[in-house]
Amino acid sequence: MTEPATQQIADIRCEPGELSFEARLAGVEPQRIWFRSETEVVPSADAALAACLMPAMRHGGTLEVEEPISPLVLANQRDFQAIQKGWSYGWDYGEEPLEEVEVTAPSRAPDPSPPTGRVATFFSGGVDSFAAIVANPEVSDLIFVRGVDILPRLAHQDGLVEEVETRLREAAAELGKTLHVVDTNVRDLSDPLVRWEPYFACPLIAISHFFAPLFDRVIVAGDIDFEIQPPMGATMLVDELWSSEEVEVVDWGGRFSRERRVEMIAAHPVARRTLRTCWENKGGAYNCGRCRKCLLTMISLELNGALQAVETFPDELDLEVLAGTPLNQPIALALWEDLLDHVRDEGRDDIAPALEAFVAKGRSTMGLSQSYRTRQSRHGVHAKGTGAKLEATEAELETVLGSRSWKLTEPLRRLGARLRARRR
Amino acid sequence: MSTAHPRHEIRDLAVGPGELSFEARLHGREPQRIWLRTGSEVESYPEAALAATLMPAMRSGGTLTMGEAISPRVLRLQREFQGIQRAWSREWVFDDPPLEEVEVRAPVRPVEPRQPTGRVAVFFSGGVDSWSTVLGEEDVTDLIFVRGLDILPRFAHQEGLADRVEERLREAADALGLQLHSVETNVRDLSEPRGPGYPEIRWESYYNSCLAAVALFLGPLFDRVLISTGLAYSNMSKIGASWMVDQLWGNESLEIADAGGLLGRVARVERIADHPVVQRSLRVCWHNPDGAYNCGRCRKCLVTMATLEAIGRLSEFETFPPELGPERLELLAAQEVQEPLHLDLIEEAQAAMKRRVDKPELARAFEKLVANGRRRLGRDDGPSEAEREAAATKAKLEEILASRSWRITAPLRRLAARGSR
Repeated sequence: MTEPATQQIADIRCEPGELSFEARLAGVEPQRIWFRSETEVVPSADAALAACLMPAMRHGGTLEVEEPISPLVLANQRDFQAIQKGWSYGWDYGEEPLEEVEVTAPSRAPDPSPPTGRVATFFSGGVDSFAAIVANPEVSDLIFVRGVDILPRLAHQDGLVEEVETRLREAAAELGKTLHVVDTNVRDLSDPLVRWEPYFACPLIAISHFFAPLFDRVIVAGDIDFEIQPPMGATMLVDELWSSEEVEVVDWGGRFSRERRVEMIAAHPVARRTLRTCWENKGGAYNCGRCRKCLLTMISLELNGALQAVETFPDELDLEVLAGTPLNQPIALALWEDLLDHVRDEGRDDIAPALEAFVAKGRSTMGLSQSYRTRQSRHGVHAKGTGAKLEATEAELETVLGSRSWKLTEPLRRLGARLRARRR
Repeated sequence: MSTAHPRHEIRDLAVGPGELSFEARLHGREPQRIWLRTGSEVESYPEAALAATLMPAMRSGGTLTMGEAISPRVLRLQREFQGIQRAWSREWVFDDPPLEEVEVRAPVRPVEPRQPTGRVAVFFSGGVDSWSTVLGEEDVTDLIFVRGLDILPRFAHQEGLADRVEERLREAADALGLQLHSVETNVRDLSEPRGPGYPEIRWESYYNSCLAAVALFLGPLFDRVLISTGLAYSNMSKIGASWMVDQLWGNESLEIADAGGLLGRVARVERIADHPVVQRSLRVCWHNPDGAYNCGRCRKCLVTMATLEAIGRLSEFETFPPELGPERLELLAAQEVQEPLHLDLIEEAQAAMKRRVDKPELARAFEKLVANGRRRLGRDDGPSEAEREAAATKAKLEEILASRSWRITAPLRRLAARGSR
């Protein structure tokens, strides 16, 4: 039996505009991890724990933190771990489930400073963060992070981060809000140990603590509504466990579907000049206009009569691209199902057939029945597993029953049935 | 069917030392005077009334107005509470229509930071979950017992029970050196205005709102109030007490938190089983025939007794029959499991017991109980409905392909295929 892993967050430095620490986690070499901002704020060490906890759960054991941590965070991280561990059994990555770690850290005396009256939200320029700004007028500050979705190590994103930052600075100025930019290498810590999809909220929470002295509340906009939220990533259940005595971490967005969020922002002039949803960024594109996420957003904008008004996307939809686009994740399927409903509700027969084929392909790829529907409020049917096979068998049966040779022998079968009945 | 925009109102809210009451005017119902009372001197947070009324109002949607100023945090987060409850309600198995969101209209009060009281309370029914929290959370200073939630004055068979339970819980609190606050309320009338057989809002989905209301009622006394959940995080269900919804009722001065998710039911029983005060006061029964403290014959009693038996502690408990003989094992095996949540708890107990003891008669009773429950709830290990449908379609196709009338026409199909080439 192997010894329990002994892990450590050491040499934590909290200086104006910078937090750095040495992450000594099992399975990887020790690394210096940093968060930097031009904003003059002395970060809270709670940020280091938020960044390291899930990566440390890859091997379990103990995690020692040298600096004092918020008593509330120390108490609630146990619940965070238990939930993540429970969820990780259901993640479909072919990896071992996460293991709980025993966190040892001195507890900080709570310092209830007077409220600052400031509320921040993360701002990538995407649908979710724009919707959070529109729905929460009390937001006073925006936070843009370099090093989470746009990475310096990816050649095709070369120069993109500067362009994005420039546009977001302009947007923040127009919105009358202060933009704080944070640069980080936190993905060097996480990528070898945990998947980005379940982890991505953790760096945002770490950055919320980085700015704890500035804000009463930091909003993390999740990307999925309560009804179809998978047990993974940013959700109210786990994000809010990271609130401390100094700053409240708020998960936002669960009340609104993606279609509703697009509707909320489609007419906003700043969103029309800035909206950014692309993760593929082929050739350094701000929005490629051809990937699954771009098309999802573009079609939704089109349904809101706003596609041509949004400057950051091509004016025309190229639906043929969908034929070569994979749809292989349950949550992506749910979003496309919603979009298809919206297309049908709007009576857009010019778009519906391409989407129907795309959604049908997704269901087949995932082995789901064509009657499957993720959203219960749209009469979701969860007939898993046998879907694709059943479809194929039903189609074959239909062909046989409709064939000329089967119909031709119908009189023979009737005769046979009569003879058998007479014998009985 | 009424198509009018439903209007609900919390009116005439009165807050005095140890009492909060208000008139709930819910759409389509007679106005109801709802009250919460306690012997402790406390001036309540008025948002207690909102916590109690919101889910019943969600039965029909519309607007809910209250004139009293409430916490800005509560007003902000009740929207999230509603969003989650609405989404969850689509998956509940009660055949009720899903809940609808309500627009809450209320003024907010200015936020005045309050000095911490240094006190932490736990809801305390004397059951496994609350005992586990009391013994597991070091900073607990106070206990809250509520009359009018699981023990109701309108039930003849529970007559006198609340007094006896409170007496035992007071003894337990004294023995632990904790202060017990007893709260009495008629809040259940809001969810069941026509009696328990006709719930507007199911108790399973609503009880934690009542606990949140009581937490806010006593809130100025505490920094934190803990609600003990029934399930471990690994087994969480989308109904009732959950971190997802309960913590949303905390205001700027009071934290409302869930406790217990770190442990499953069996681990909780193990945590509390050796404590002499627990052995004198543990109470799990909801049936209480003839006012019994624990009847020892209902599903909840029997599963708890079986768990105690499995860890060798049943005979030390004064509040249960000392033995789980053949008759009770038979009763256990024959219990009807009607809700997924209950099956989850029983399966958890079964799995934990398999790891801990070798008691074949107990294992057999659990096997029967679980098998019945799985069958009843459509979780049996046989094929799913979709698999059965697929198998039936395949069988029909194979029967046709093997039939004489299909085989004798094979030359015709070959001919047709050649022609089409």
